[in-house]
Amino acid sequence: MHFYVSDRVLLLFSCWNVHSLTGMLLTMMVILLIATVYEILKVLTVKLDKKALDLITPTPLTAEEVTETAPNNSARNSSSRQRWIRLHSSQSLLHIVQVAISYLLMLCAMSYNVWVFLSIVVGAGIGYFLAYPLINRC
Amino acid sequence: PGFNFTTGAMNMSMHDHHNHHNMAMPTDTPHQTANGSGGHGGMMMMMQMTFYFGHKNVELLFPGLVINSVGGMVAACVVIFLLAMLYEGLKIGRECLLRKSQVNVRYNSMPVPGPNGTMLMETHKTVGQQMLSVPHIIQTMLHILQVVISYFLMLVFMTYNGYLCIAVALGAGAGYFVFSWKKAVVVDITEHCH
Repeated sequence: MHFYVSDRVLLLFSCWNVHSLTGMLLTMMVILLIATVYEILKVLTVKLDKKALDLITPTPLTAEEVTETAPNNSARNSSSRQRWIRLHSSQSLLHIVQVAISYLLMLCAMSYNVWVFLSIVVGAGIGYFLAYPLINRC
Repeated sequence: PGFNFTTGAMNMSMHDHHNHHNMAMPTDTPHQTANGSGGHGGMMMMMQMTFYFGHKNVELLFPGLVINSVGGMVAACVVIFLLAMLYEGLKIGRECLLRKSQVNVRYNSMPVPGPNGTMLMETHKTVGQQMLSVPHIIQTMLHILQVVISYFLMLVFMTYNGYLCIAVALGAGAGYFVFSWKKAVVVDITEHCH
């Protein structure tokens, strides 16, 4: 098994059988897009992790509130717990999607086709370049 | 038939173990089309699908790179060990660089005394994540390098050669051992700066 340059490749599914230049270009576009989406999801995960960490670590203000208003605090606790559950389930969902895409990309790379490999790498670059500043801004 | 995950390589192994696997196996037709139109049926024959130890006829990533001797295998293991170390170093180095650039930005925006507080806050937040800034472009380049190395390591592991797999694992371990120590120090520094 070694890298080869060719416009013929069989990717993932038996129906995804590329044997022409236009087909290869189309395939490259699709894989570029998938790799870009994968990077965006990765950055999104980091962002969500940060958010979850903020939810878990209590601010010093809540410690004071505990002594002052107990019922108010419990209501607040339950709402924050609900928020945490929602956040955690969306994180899990994101993780599933991410694992699936990463395995698909890995299997694509395993075709040893240079063009496919290049589009994965370039897609990863584009995705990181765009997603990191954009997602961290908001 | 819409759900057979079949790279050309996978197909071969499935064919080999045809008798043992009676799970959702496609018929032999996709396998034949894969070899017929793929144009690379010949090289797929070498694909190993179980771990083995050996230093004869191990093909490594590139066309001319075939290991056939003990010396060649040792050299390949050393190179892959270093590559895996580099990967770990790159991961941690990027993190350090990111933290450093963010610290720099914080200091740069500090001395700007805005007429009102809100202005100051906003510059504080956005300057660090500009798309067309040198730190981010460097980060992107390093990210691409990291992706390439990680895929190379994955493909090396997929040769199923025991020696090469051990080299990858040990390299990752050694890299983490060497570089994570530095990471701890850097974390310490930034915490002092706060």
